[in-house]
Amino acid sequence: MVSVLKILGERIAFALAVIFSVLILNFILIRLAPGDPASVIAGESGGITQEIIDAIRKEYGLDLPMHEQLGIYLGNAIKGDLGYSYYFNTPVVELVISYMWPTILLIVVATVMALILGTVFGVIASRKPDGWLSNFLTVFSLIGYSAPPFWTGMLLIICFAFILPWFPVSGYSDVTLDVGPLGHALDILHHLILPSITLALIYLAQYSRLARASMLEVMGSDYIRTARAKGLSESVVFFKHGLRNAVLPIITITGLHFGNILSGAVLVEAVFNWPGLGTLAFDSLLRRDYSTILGLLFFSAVMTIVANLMTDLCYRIADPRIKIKKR
Amino acid sequence: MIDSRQHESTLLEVNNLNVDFNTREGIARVLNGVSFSLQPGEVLGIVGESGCGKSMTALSIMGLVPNPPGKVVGGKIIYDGENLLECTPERMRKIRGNHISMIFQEPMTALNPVIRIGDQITESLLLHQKLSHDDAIDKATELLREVHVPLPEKRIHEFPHQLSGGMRQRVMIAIALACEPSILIADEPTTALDVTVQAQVFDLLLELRQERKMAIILITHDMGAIAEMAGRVLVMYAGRVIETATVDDILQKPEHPYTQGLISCVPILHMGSDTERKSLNEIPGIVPSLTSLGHGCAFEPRCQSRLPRCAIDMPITFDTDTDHKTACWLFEQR
Ligand SMILES: Nc1ncnc2c1ncn2[C@@H]1O[C@H](COP(=O)(O)OP(=O)(O)O)[C@@H](O)[C@H]1O
Ligand SMILES: [Mg+2]
Repeated sequence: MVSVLKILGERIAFALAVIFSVLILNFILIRLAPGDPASVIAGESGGITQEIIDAIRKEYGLDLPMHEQLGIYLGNAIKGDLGYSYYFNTPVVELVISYMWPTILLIVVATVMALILGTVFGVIASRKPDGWLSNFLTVFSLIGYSAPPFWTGMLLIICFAFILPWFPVSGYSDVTLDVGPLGHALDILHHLILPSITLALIYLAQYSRLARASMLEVMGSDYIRTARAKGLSESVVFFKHGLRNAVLPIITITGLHFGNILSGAVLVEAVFNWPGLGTLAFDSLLRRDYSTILGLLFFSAVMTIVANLMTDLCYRIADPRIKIKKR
Repeated sequence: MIDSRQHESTLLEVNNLNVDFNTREGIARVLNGVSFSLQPGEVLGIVGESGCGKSMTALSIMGLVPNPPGKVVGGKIIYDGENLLECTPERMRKIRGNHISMIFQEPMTALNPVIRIGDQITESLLLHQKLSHDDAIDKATELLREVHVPLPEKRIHEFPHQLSGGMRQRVMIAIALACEPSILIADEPTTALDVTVQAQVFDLLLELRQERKMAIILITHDMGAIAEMAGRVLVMYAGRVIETATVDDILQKPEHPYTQGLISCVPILHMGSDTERKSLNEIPGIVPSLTSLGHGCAFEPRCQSRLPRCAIDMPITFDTDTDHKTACWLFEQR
């Protein structure tokens, strides 16, 4: 137990160090951008008056020496102040939080979909390593991996929103509907299906390939032979002794993919006009709204770290060997 | 030592067993006409160089020949009046781990890394003996104590990686013994262990055999252990049994040139952790490929005493003495 706490403490300390580095990177980026830092922070949204520039200069202490500026910046960040978007006229933190939920919804649904379906397909395919499903998965994963999400997204829109008008073309919910909270939730779900499939497709094929390979390897191992030698039924051998070991690499990969999924979500959101962080990042980039972009950068770093921590935790629960072995 | 001459009730009889493997080079006859019998409480040693089919013999009895690529293509394995090669998979699962158990060569990988030791031992108790969970846990603790694992109450909650190789092999033995099998197959149970630990594991097997009166098929390179434990010995070469005799005969008057080669360099024939153990001697030459065996004796190319006909005709098995059989043309006249 002590060692678990110790490792957890180390992990958190490491996470804090990474967050700190991202903050410093942000700080440097603003100063490296061409032009007056104050006008960089204000962004190029137009309508910026000299008073606003002066106020920014004062607030960030831009006349002070660098180390004091850094102190102010870090102090603000610790207080939860990641800057102010002069385009939206809102603090960046509030902005990020209001755009965060659709993205989290999209990522979680897509990841769970890719993970569960991928594992199921892969495990089924592993029963017949040369069967049609295995061959199909090989081709499918190549396509899924190489096709860009905006292309698959467009294709899905053409097929399932235009030719077969089953799903809405884009957006998060239909504001013209007046259907109560449950109806609203169902409406969001309806809008969510195509974008989450688009995002899941990138990983679904990879996970199923991985699950197949992992299961094949595990089923050939010595402890499976031991399990069979006990007289256990094939399904107990397969699910209790095989599957539990086979999912370990899939959990790891899912955690490591989190950063990729987040960047995949940016593209998918842009295609489907999904009002999440991706859309916000995309629009802010076009607007050169630096405060928002840096806030998002910081926020996605934090999210990635949290996701990695959670993966680590899941992995520890699934694999007892990790508890005493330091990674 | 059990007197091997009393054949009143054969426990296991393997008759003309043939196993084929599909390999890239073609079909390999991995076991070729293997026959032997096992009496209740007897310890039967199987020796031979790597790749001669010792493990396949064991796996065939367990019904665990990896298929594909392997397949039992002929013969009979009669256990308690029942041909194991003809019974249903369900029936075979009732026998496996219950009446016949096996311990494997690699203790480091033979236990499931993500399941607690206790669960791995109780699994077969819950399955075959229908014990309640609490009784099974008690029995598992008892078994661990019997195989001399220290602190069994603590160990059952641990995972395999928390144990040393020797301890893991003891756990494997506990798993194999859980349902009090009448046959225990030990396939090179000590090969992966340190020398001192090897001696401890053999001592344990010896002790368990005396307590439980079960029959053991002991596959090992350790002639010291064979001398100490086995009653009869099978010598295998290239998928065939080439000599069968009592352990004393095998050690003192080996007949087949291959057996003589194996035995010729084994000066110390008693067990003990302080004496140096001698493994099987190296015979010059290599084991032939099983996919391209000729018609004659597979040992002929390496044999010092070969006759002209050895390259042409497969030797038949001759009864050279009471309880001594040798498959070699040198013994035809007797
Ligand atoms: N999975 C396999 N595929 C092909 N050949 C195999 C396989 N397993 C074992 N064999 C062959 O079967 C023969 C007997 O192997 P085995 O019984 O393991 O020998 P050993 O006497 O060392 O235990 C060997 O020649 C080996 O090449
Ligand atoms: Mg072997």
